Amino acid sequence: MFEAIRVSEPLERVAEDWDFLAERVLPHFSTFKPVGQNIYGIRRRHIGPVGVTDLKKGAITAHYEMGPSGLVHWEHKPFQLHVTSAGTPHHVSHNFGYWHINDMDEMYLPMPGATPDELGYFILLMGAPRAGECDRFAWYCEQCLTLMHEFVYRTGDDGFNGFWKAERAAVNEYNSDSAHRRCPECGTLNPPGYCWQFNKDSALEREGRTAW
Amino acid sequence: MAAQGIPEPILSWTVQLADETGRAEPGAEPWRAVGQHEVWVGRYPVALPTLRVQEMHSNRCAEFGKPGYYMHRVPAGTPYRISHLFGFWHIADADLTWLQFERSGLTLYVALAGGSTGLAGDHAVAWYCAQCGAEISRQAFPRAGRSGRFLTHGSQPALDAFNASADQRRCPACGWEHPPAYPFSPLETAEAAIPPW
Repeated sequence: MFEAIRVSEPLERVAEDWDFLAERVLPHFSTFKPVGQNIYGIRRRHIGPVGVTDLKKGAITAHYEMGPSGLVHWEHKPFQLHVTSAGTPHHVSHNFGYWHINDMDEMYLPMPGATPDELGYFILLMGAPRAGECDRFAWYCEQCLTLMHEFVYRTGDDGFNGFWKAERAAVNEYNSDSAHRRCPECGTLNPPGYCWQFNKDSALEREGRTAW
Repeated sequence: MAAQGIPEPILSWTVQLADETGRAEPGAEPWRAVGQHEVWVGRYPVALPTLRVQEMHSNRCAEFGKPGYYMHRVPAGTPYRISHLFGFWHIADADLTWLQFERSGLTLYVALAGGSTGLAGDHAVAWYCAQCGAEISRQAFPRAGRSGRFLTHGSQPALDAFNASADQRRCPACGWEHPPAYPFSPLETAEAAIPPW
C-alpha cells in the first residue's frame, strides 16, 4: 500500500547492515556484537537431527543449567528457540569451560540451512547489560555442585568490549592454582577451565576442553 | 497465615518453531513474555503474501525483506509495522528483532521484542499517508507494558478511534483517505485469509 512513498535508494543506505544474516554482514557477529538493546552472535554450524556441530570444536549439543533442584541437561535441537533466564548458571560442553552466569537473558536458536547441503545458523542473542549488571564466570564441583570459584565482570559498567579479556582473566585465575579446582566439600579435583576461543588453549585448557 | 511454598525459578524456556525436520502446521504461537524478552512465532504457507518489515524514515517507507533467510533489527523509537500482520504503525521503547526463515512450503517468522532491563513500556500507535507520507494520526500510551500485550490488546483504543470516521483517517496534507486499520491478526489456520496490506 505504501509504494508511492517507498524509499528509492538501496536499503543499505537507509539502514546499513540491515540483514544480520547477509554474507557481507555475518562476520561482524562471529563473536558477539552489541547492537541497540541486545548483543548478537551468529555462527555457521552443522545443525541437524543429531544436534549442533561446530566446524572446529566438534559436537556442542549438550547444554547444562543449574537450579535449586540441581543439574538440568538439555540439548540444542533444530528449530528450537531456547531462552536461558538471567541468573541461571549454564555451561555448553566443549564450548566454554566455566559456568556462565549472566544478569541478562540469553536466547539460542539453531536453524538448519535452507537446504540439507547448507550450513545452518546458530543464532545467539542476549540483552545488553546496564549499569550494575554483570557477567560471572563460575566453577561448581562436578560431583557435589558446590561453588568453588567465581570471577565477576561488571559488564554494564565496564563495557562489553572487556568481556573476552575478563573471560581470559577468569580462566587464568581459576587454573592458576589447583586448589581452586579441589572441592572444599567433597575433595574432588575438577577438570581445568577453558575459554570460548579454542585457538589459544594451553595444554591444561585443552585437557579441560576434552574433559567437559 | 499458611506458609506459602517458594516457587522454583524458571531456569529456561523454549519455543518450538517446527519439529526437528522442519515440519509444522501453519498458524502462529501467541506472544510469550518471560524475563527480558518476548517471542512471537508465525508459520505461514509460502503461497501467502510475505510478511515484510516496514519502517518510516523521514516520511518515507523502507520495506525490509528478501527471499530466504534474514534477520533485521527495528531500533526502539522507529515507527514500524509488519505487512499483513497488523494495520498500524507501532513505536516502542523496546527493540524488535525480526527473523524470516523461508523453507520448502512454509515460512517461519520470529519476532523478539526487548532486551534491556528497566524499560518503561512506552508505546505509540500512528498512521501515515500512503500518498505523501504525512502523519495522519498518533496516540501515545506511556507505561503501557510489554510489546506483545500492547500489540494484541493495548493498541485497540487507538484503532477504534482511528476507524470511527473517515475524517479521522484523512491526510491533513493531501486529503487521501487511509483505509480502516486492523488489529494484530496472526494466521490462524492454513485456509485462513490474511489482511491485504
